Amino acid sequence: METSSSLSFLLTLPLIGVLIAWVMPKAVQRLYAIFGSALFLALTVYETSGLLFAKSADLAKTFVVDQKLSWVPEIGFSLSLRLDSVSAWFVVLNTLVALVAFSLRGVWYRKYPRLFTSFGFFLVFALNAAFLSTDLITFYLAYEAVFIPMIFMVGIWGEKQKAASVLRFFIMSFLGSILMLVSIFYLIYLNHEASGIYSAQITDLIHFAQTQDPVKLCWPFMGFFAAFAIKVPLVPFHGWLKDVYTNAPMPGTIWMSGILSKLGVIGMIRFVLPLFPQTAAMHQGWLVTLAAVSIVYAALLAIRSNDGKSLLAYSSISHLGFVMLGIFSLKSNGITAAILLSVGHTLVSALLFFLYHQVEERQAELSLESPHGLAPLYPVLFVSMFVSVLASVSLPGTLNFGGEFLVLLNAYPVSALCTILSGLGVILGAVYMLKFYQQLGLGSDSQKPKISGVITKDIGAYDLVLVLMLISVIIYGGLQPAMFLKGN
Amino acid sequence: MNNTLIILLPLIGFFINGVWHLISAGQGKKTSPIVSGAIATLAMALSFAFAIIQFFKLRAMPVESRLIEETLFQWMKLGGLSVDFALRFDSLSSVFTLVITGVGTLIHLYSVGYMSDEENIAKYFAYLNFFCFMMLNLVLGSTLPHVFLGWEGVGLASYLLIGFWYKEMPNVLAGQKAFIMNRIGDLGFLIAMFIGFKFAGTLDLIEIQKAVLSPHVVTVFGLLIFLACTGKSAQIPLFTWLPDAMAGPTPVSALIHAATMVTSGVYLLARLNPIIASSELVLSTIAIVGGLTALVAAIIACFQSDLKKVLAYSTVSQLGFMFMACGVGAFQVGVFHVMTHAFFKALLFLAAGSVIHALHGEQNIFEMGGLRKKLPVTFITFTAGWAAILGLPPFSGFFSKDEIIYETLVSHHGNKIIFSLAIISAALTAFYMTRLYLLVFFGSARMDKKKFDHAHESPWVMGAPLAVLAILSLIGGWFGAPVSLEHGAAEASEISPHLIMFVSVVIATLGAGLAFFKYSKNTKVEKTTDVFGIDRIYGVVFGQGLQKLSSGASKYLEEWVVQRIIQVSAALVDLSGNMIKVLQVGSAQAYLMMIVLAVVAIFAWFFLGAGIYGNF
Repeated sequence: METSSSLSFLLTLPLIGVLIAWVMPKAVQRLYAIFGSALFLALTVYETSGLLFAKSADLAKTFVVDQKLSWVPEIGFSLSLRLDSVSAWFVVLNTLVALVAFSLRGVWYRKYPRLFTSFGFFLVFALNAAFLSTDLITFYLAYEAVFIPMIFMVGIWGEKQKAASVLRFFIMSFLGSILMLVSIFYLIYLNHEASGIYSAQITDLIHFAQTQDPVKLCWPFMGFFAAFAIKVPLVPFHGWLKDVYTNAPMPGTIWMSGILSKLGVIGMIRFVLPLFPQTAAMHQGWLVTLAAVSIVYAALLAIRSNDGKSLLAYSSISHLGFVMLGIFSLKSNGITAAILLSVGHTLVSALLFFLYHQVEERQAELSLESPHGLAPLYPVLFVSMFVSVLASVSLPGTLNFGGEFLVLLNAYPVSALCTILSGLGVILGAVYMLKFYQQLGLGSDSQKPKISGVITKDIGAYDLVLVLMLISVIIYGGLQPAMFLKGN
Repeated sequence: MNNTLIILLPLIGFFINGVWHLISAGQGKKTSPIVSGAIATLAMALSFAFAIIQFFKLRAMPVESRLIEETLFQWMKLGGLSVDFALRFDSLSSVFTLVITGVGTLIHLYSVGYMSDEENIAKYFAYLNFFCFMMLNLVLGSTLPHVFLGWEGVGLASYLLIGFWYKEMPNVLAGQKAFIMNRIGDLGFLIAMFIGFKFAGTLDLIEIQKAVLSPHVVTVFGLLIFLACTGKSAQIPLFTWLPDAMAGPTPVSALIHAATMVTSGVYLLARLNPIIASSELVLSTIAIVGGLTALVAAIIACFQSDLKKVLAYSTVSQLGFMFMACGVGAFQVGVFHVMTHAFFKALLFLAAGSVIHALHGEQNIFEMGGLRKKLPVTFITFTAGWAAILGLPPFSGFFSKDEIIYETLVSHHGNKIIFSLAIISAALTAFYMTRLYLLVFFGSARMDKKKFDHAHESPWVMGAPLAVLAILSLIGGWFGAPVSLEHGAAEASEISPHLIMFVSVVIATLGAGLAFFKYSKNTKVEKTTDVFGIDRIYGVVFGQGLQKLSSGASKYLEEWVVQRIIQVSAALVDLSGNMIKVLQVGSAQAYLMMIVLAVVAIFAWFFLGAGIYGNF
């Protein structure tokens, strides 16, 4: 059923999407973007269905596609891509996030709409390339390519302090990229020393790294780790996040928290752990500690936030800490659970930011310092919001519960202390997420809420369909997480 | 199929009422209390009917194989972990299922009358059905994660119903307090599951009890499970949310915060009794905490002036009795008290609701008095509840409470300390309940005359459930503990049960007599006194503590360290070249074109150039 054509279409169609954006009239850009990404989502799901819905891990293996195009063989450059049950999920999520981001109304469809749409499709392309690539050079190129439209998106449609936040974003990402690039070259060089061939193929390098002393690989390990830890981000590499998330236009925020963060996740799973298994095992102690600290520290910052967007941004760090904890358990079950939770995190954070944007469209001033009492005015919107909040606090029956529960279950034998510390995040999560929901939706009987937004009606039919689609995946996945747990 | 129907019916009710509420709220219409109430009550009544069918099926089976299991689907599977979504109906869950669906039906029916003026009535019934669905999952689930699903689910329903009148922020905050305090306990539950899986390799409720665990593991596991129980069942140290939970509508207090949800802890301990009972430390912790909670809550109840708060502290205290029973190894006696307590406490709450309803929301017992003639049905049924909680023969509370007191003395896990805690708490119970009873129904009317004249007996939908519960409070104890658990039977002892019976009746009479002496004539207004100030201490230590910690993290670590580092590096970069100018908006389109061109060039090089430059 699958041929290598499925890989090229995952890369070429989004690029075609970029080009079409420039011939489409400005007025229909949103419509075009939504239809384009929805169509692409349907095609992606269809093409990867063998992997996504396979009954067993063994069955899924028969659908794996590998593709390798030699580029500059003398120096080991080749484009090698692999679609397996891990990358299949990320590829699908990537397009889904694009659909959610494209669906938002805002200044990006009034000011340079073509640019916005083409940035969006370009992001889909670059992210797909990053998720699929199994050689370090291709990965690095795609990884960098993601960064460019993102910077512009913040710079062009961003909010108040966009310039400063763009700079921070740039510095931190650039720092990570440089460290990773140096590590990549170092690995290629070492491999050449040993075997006499240039190769950036992950399979070759893994083969090579096995023969090396794990202490010697400490520096390249650190380089990769830093790059991905910044992307996720993991405390203390998170300094750029709050400013960038809050100043980015909402679609940008959704892209960053929903799917750009998963570049770090897939980087850890695809490259760091396979390349440096022993080095990672040596450092496991502080790796799990960092994950646990991320969870609690970000949760504390979220409690303090009085701005919805930064609260959700910190909550995103906190939950990604669980993903990292699962990965750093260094056990295949823990990693599988982490992938499950990544899927849940992508869906829930996209949903929460999407719904928060809907609320912002209805009420401009939304400080969380006082209750706004908006729920009775927009009952359907706020019920959706509440369900998303419940998924975010990982109530059993949601995808996120399956993920967090299985991550913690597998992390417990590794470090009981860090697991208990991470468990505090479950309590703190309830503290800030309830505050978020209550201050927006409840209270304020005495003063009638003043409506200051552009929209006064409850959530629209199209938006509701989108939200219901995401919610049903979250709940279906909560009852049938087995679908996402076919191993890696 | 029947097990599934028991939980499915309330879920269907929840969906019908939930969707109806959303549609009519969207159009700004009101929903009819009769129709939505009928749907919800019917769902519960049918569920109750199926529970009875299952109960008789179970009774027809031989005692040792009494179990009806239905597996719906596989829930989670990863590595060695396999969790099925299965429902198990056995003698322990049958008691709880019958109480939940039976008392639940009555309270649904009562709500039709009590909540008839409510604007969002369909939402209320949707929540109530949702609660029952989750509670049934809790008692029918076959694995610890399934119980946890119900455990968190009832917590959610409780949050929603405490804050049902969400326009008043204090109600919302009371719900939040309940949710978060429960989550503290839930962390214990989670970690207990991790430990259980690590050492037993399974989370199935039957399998895990067969696993051979070291005494050390058993102790830690048991204590963590008990931590979870202190949250859900409002025991020391996590009990302060329950009095606040009275912010919810009174039928909710009766169903969730008296009859069912708060007894989940007893269910969990009874369910895991072989593990719990194999650690002496766990048992004595449970007994001491239960005893202290019974005593402390009973003392606080003597100083409350709010009708519902007295009953709330009374519930905390009675839950303490149940935990004392579990702590001395008499789990089945604990479950017996769960059942009788469900009858008489639900009755007391509903009767209190009837009083509050008649007085248009008045809850201060010093603003009541002389209501026995005005509200005869309420008065008579309340009397039954009062007699039952005091433990006067032949009311149901007499049998179960008496057995607990007996067990605390004669069980080989019991001792004189637990026994004295139980006896003193029983005396205090008689005191505060009689105080309440006298102040509400006897003496002269202390509210203004107009209010008194307006007071009227409630409609039949409220009266009928009161009558049924009053009968159950009378006869509910005659059949003894409805379950037999491995650890439960009292050992033979020289101390005669009749002696203990006599002592406990005398004690109750003394407590009641003291209250009669103090409150039958003199009704000087008493203000609620915060006897121990526990709530205030928690507020300072945890509420403000968390805020301090959070603002400390954000001020000192985040702003002064993390952000400063970024700012400094940003400044350095800014100095070395004004890179940001590149991003001036005007020429952004040109930059995009550059990117596209670059990508196209790279691809062209890749696809075409590889051949040309391949040999460079």
